[in-house]
Order: sequence, then structure tokens, then C-alpha cells
Amino acid sequence: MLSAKTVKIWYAVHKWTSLVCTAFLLMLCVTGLPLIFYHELSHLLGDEIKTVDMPLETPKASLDSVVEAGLKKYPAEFVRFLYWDEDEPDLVYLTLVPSLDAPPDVFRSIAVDARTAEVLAEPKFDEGFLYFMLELHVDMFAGPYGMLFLGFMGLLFVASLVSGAVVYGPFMRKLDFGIVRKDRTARLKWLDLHNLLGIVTLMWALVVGGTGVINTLSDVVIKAWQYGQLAEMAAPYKGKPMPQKFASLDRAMDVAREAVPGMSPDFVAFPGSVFSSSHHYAVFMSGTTPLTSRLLKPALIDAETAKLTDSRDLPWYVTTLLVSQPLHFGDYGGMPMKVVWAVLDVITIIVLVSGLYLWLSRRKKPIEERIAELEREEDLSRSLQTEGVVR
Amino acid sequence: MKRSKSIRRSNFLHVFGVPALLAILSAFGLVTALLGDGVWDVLSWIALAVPVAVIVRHVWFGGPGKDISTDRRSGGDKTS
Repeated sequence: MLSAKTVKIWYAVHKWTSLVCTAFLLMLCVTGLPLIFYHELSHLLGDEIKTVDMPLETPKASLDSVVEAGLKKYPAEFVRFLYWDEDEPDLVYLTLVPSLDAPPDVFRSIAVDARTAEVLAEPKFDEGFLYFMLELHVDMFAGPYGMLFLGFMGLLFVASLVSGAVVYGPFMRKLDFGIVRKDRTARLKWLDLHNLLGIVTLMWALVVGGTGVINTLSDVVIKAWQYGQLAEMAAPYKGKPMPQKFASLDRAMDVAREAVPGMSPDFVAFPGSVFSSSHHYAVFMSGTTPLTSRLLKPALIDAETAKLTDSRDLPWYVTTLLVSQPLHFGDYGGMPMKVVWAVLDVITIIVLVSGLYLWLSRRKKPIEERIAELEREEDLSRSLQTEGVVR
Repeated sequence: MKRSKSIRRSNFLHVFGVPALLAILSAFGLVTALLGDGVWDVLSWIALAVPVAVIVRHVWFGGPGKDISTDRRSGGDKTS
């Protein structure tokens, strides 16, 4: 077992890392709860876009006509991205920007029927309850620095989980797993609950906390990819201006499908967007299993000639980010998984609040004395019980 | 020497045995749903629900034996 001094150090780590991050972690757990059901809630809140019923085998319109429909509505704007709805195969979205150097938060989304190339709606992703929750959760409306700050809070959370697991040892040395002493002081009951709930959900909390930290690095990761692999792939085109006339997007898609067999398109980044060069359609292909559908593979297609320039697997740091997303969101195992995610989230809230309560109701005694005291009490109650004395 | 070492080990297992099993099960549940749909999802739901079930059992149903003494010395029969 650990020496008294080591326990003291680990306990101090647990106390201070927890104290600093608890308020933010509480906010993250509370705002994260509705975000688990983002998709379902956005439908409930009436954001669902209705498509007309047509026979199942209705052919899809060409993507060129989809793009044309969007630009017809907003002739002065530029297409930045085109992507498909995850659950509704008849919906395609376009992201339009007023100028090619527009900041990343200035854009509009329009939903287009994939069969008729008719503009259906302009979904607003930047208002309402879920948007508020999402912004709080991601960066507290404080941009990249808010995001990195929350990443640091996440790191403290992970440190508090690890140190918490270490000090669980000396606290539980003489106790059975899972004990909840409800018949003594309130503090003892909440200590037992804090220990039980914390240790049982440890792995889940570590994974969700750790992947959350990785997600806060997404801006950095994307920048690294832009200046690394993407720049390398588009190197022969360096300094080339935007094409005057764009080649057919449908032809570019055929070329991409041929270059990356066995995968299907996930989204297209247009020339001038962050995920492409000034002269390429970047078609991001993905697989079909829950894991491979997150692992993208870009194909850079010359937007003037529709010829393949290059296609490579993403580097490890982007792959790490992409894999950490589902593990943080809990959106890869259907509704039952989301429910479990929500329950574990609520349990984490209880662990946070009980931890805070234990600290507020603390007695001013060093940790080793408190453990010894708890153990003496335990020995006493034990001997009373073995002698048949009933409290 | 040998004796105290084995006590130490059994002590460690006594404290961290169940938590370690639950951690492995959780990790298994987190990974399986990534690998495929259908049966993989079901395995994941079960594995991830077990920790929750363990909590429910101990918090609301007291769990087996409230502490070591009642369990080992008086046969787990506790009157209170």
C-alpha cells in the first residue's frame, strides 16, 4: 500500500485539480446532456426539413444542378461546402459565403432536395436552445481561446480522475466494494456515494474527458493538416488563381469515386475553403462501418479539368481527432447508447456535486488522520457487531 | 516477507478487483459499437449498462454484505 506521505500528495492533487475544474465540468455536464440528443431534439423543436414523398427509385438530380439552384438564389455568393444529410438521403446542404475571405462564422446553409434540386429551406444553425447549449459547451462563446481553456479544464478533470482512483485505495482498504453507509452521518454516506459512483464510472469518464480534450484541439489539428498534408498535395498548384470556369462537380465526383474505391462521398470542400486549395474540389470520402464512416479520405480534384491531383490517407493526428469525436459524443450506437450516455453524465454530475459537498463539509484535519479515524470507527462498529451489540 | 507481500496483493485485489473488471467492461463497450452495427451495438449497450446496474444495486439494494466484518465474521447477517 501507499505510504502516508504518498497518499497525502495524491490527495492534494485530487483536491486541487477537482476544485479548479468542478464549476466548468458541471457546466459541461449540464450543457452536454441535451447535446447527446441533439438530433432528436432538433426534430422536436421543429427544425426538421420535410421532403415530399416520391417513389423510392426516383433518380438523384445532378450535383451541378444542386449547386446551380443555390447560386441562383444567391448569385453574388460562393459555395464553400456541399454535404449530405446523415439520416435523410434526399437532402443535400450547401454552405454559401458572401466573399471568399469571409470569416468562418459568416455563412448561410441551404437545404436542397437531392432529387429535384429544389431549394427547400435555410436552416439556422446559429440560434435557439441547442445552439446556445452547443456554444457554451464548446467554447463558452469565447472562440478558440475559450475552447482551449475548456481543454485545459478537461485535462485537470482527467488528472482529478486518476488521482481520485489512487486515493480510492486507502479509503476503501478495510471496506467492501460498493458499501454505502446510510445509517451514519450524512457526510459518510456521501463519501461512500462519491467513491462508488466515481470508481464505477471511471473508465467512461476518462474516455469522454480525454476525447473532449482532444476535440478542443480541433482548430490546431486542422491548421496543422492545412499547412502539412494539404499543402503538400496541392504544392504543384501553389500560387495558381481560382479557376475562371469550374468543371462539372458530377465528373469530379466520378473521378473521386474511382480514386477511392469502396468509400462514399461525405462532403465536398470547394476551391478557396479551408479544407481545399484555391484550385481544387476536395472530395472527402468515408467508409460504411460506425468507425470507418468517421475516417475520411480526401481526393483533390482539379476544379478546372476534373482530373485527380492526389488522394492520401489523413495523417495520424487528424485520424485521432476523428476517432475521438464519436467517443465523446456517444452517437455511434443508437438510442440505447445515448440513454446510457445520459445516465452516466448524470452520475458524473452527482460525483462532482458530492465532491464539492465533501470539501465544503470538510473537517480541518489532515488526510491521514481522517483515514485513520474512519478506520477506527470502522473497527469499533465491527467489534460491536461481532459481540452482538446492535446499534 | 513473503506473507506480507501476499497480504498486500490480496488487499489490492480486494479494493481494486471489481473496479478493474468494470473498467475493462466499459472499455470493451466503448469499442464494440465502433466496430459494427447490430450485434456489436447490443454488446456495447450491455457492457456500458453493467456499471450503472452495479450502482443501482449497491445504492438502492444495499449490495451484498455491508462491510467486511458482517460478511466474514458473522456470516453476512446484519441486524441494524
